[in-house]
Amino acid sequence: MSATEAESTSLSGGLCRRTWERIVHERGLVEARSASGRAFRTLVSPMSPDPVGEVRVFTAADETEPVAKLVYVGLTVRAIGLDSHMVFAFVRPDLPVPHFTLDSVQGQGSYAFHLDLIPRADLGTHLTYLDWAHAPLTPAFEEVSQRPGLSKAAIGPRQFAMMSPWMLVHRAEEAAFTGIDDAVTTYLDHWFGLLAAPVPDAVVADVADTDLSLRDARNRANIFSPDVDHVWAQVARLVGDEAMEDVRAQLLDNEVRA
Amino acid sequence: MFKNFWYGVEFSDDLVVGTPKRIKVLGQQLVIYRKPSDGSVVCLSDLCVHRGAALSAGELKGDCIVCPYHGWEYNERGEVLKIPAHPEKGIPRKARIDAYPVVERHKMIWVFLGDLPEEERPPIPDWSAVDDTETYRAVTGTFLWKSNYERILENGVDIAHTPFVHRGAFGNPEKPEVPEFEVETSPWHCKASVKLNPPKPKGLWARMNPGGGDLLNRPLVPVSTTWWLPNAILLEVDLPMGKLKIFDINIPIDEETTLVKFIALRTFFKGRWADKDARRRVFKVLKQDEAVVDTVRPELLPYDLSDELHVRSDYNQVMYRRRRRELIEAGWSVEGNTIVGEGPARVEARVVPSPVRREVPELASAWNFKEVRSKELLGQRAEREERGDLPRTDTVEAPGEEVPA
Ligand code: FES
Ligand SMILES: [Fe+2]
Repeated sequence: MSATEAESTSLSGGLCRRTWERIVHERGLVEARSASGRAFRTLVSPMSPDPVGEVRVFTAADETEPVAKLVYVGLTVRAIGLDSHMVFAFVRPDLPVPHFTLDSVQGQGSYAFHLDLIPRADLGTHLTYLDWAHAPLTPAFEEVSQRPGLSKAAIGPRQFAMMSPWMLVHRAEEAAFTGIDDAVTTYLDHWFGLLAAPVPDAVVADVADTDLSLRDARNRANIFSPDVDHVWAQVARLVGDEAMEDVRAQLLDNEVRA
Repeated sequence: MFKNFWYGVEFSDDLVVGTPKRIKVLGQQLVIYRKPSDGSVVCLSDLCVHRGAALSAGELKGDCIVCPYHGWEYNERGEVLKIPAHPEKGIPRKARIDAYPVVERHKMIWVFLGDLPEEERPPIPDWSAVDDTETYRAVTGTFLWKSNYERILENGVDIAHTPFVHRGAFGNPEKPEVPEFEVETSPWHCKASVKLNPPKPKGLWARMNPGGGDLLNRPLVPVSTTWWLPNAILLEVDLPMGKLKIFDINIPIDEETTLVKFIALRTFFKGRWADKDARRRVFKVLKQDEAVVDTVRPELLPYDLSDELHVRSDYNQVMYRRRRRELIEAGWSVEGNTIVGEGPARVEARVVPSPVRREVPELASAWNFKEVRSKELLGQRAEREERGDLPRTDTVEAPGEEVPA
């Protein structure tokens, strides 16, 4: 096992790790390993003799599991003070349950995170879906938003449009960042609740006008588009265009491509 | 059971300011409480010198504890400051009880039960990993065990039993051989390290390691066991997924009862979600050990090394037995500290002398609870002797007994 796997004890790495491990644990996901038995992808960079990161991929144990794929991407380059960890847990394309995501970053001494349930239908036209999937997060969203030590992170409206209005996206001082665990737990618990019960008939009826799979593919193409999210340009500078495209490809759909 | 050691007696988190707690260690009742003024912990003999009431049933008044019976007030040094029935009279010199030094370290309250001056006291075991909350996630737990603490201690440091008693948990019964040991010792501890064959991975770890289930060809797992005198142990396991450290303290309530308090650290699955599983895993291991230790006869450790058959893989236990024999010879066994109160407090109890008895020789005559054996207690001993279940650790005063090398 690589050092990055065992000893990711930075604050940002720890938060992300505890989160995806819990999802893997509760949903019984199975890891897709590389042929050598290590992480699915190990990321290298001309900037460092050691690996700078890894991509780990988990999939459903069987077809009854609603969570189809979990992707963790970690990038750590001490020389430039970058420590970035993100996890996406994608629900099956035909189910209207939101995807879960947490991005947890430390850079140049400050922290940042985003935490969201990514909508699976247009919220402006699907109130029943909205009230079921997202609205219960409102109290947590409001409480966290006004915590001291947090400030709104720079994310433009164009990028925001791909996510949900309940996305918590903040820069954080260290003390405030260590307090984010409980918000993650609240979002996760709500999400696990959505996964645990069958989707209510009213919700199914509400989103019947949406081709869920098609919308999911298009939504993910946008979320992970280098044209929308400039993080991909940074990733490319770090690990090269080819590796960046490979990481991106893991996020676009639920296939597992060796 | 030995005096002159620091005993971890309670988790720091489990003692709140203001509420006294009764504990029993080495057969002696003690009261511990946290002082309202600065939050530090006080440990006194739980035996009021007046009529022998339990101070732990009393209340705090400022930093003093008030006896529930007639309201005598004791300070943290065990001195009576007030006798409410006679406020105008002076306080008798004998109005004092033993007070024991207390240190809070590694999430635990440690009490020094003995009368050695500070510089001669054995060290508190180095549990500093417990304080490294960045690297480790901790869970704690308590387990009451109807067995002698030394048998439990020996079991805890016994590496050869894991493949059999803990099959599946971390023992691999298909490969029970214990390879060469590496040993590190000091007068107060012994650590033995080996590389063992791991069992088949299960649960979350197995799902994160598909294909890693080849039972006979997995990399060896470094395992070490450590004991510190008198009653602490550490089990360390370097699993492929990370490190596991289980510290535990086996508190001798009396010869036959042990309160186990553990702090289990892990470097993997550090989310709160995994705490329940982590705690369950330790309890499972303790239960497996309990089932075996409870069948071990005699219940108390034999005094004589040659009484049981030792093999090479018992090294750590043999070291422990050597040291305990030295302690017995040094007079550190507490069996001599059974007292009977003279004067009004007709109480039989065990009181381990505290440092103040040595520090202030002028008070030598002021101790109401002297180390005197009561006839009754000696009578009980005779009965037990007849039944043949007298603990051999009781034989400290036997003159001229042959001690086999
Ligand atoms: S005051 Fe304690 S017994 Fe009387
Ligand atoms: Fe054991």
